[in-house]
Amino acid sequence: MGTKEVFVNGALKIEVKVNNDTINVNWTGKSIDRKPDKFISPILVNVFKLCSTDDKRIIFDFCKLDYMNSSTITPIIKILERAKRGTAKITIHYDGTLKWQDLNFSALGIFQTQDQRIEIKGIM
Amino acid sequence: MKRSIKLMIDANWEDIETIRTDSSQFLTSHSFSKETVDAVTMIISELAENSIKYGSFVNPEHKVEVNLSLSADKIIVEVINPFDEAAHRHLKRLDKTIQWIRGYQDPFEAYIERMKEVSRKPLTDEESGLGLVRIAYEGGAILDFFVNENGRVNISTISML
Repeated sequence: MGTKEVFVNGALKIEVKVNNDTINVNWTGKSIDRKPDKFISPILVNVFKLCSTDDKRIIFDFCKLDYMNSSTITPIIKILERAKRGTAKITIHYDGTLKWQDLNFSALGIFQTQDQRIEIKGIM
Repeated sequence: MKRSIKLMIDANWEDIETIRTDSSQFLTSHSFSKETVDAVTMIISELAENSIKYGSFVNPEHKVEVNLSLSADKIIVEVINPFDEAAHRHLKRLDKTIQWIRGYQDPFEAYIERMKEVSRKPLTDEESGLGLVRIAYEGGAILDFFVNENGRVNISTISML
């Protein structure tokens, strides 16, 4: 059985669940903080380290995220850039039926790798 | 039914949620699709955030003003805030960014370019620099600004329906 940790900051909740082969990072609520990276970056860095140590795939699930400001996108982009240059395996799931999510997350396709080590998937 | 609303908040970050909720309700009451409501609410939110970050609010009368108006073929958002000489460099940067976005035929390309720049910065670098280009790309809006005779900066967007 995996371990689960829940992080809450205002209207944003991030749940990190470590399984045998994956680390699920589920985002719910709204990310509207003035400096969201202060909350988000340590979580992402820690998950990134876990994934590298144990060779697990990180699955970021944004399907239930209601809104995020542009400052929230920044740490996510930076982690993806670092992952692309390294060996980490990352999947991003977003709600492909929501236009705002589709526009934001499909743009992250620039970080996808041909071998699908990094993949961005809109769920319909 | 009124075709415009005016919202005013103090320069408190937490109050941006009020503007988001009120503008969302206003647009929904005019039967706009969820897509349009989400897009325009995002535009208002991003501009209000910039207003609080870069405006000058030295006395209690200084507020963030949001005007949202509807016509047959467009939605116009205006966010107005006071500024002072110290904030002048932000105005220059605003002008430069808007001109840069306009240089791209497709705002998606500008968004991608800015994302690439941001991705290469250190994790400790807090600045996003994505707000305005997000408005152009995700919001599908045209940005402009001017400084009015009262020394307040007015940033506006037009979204064609």
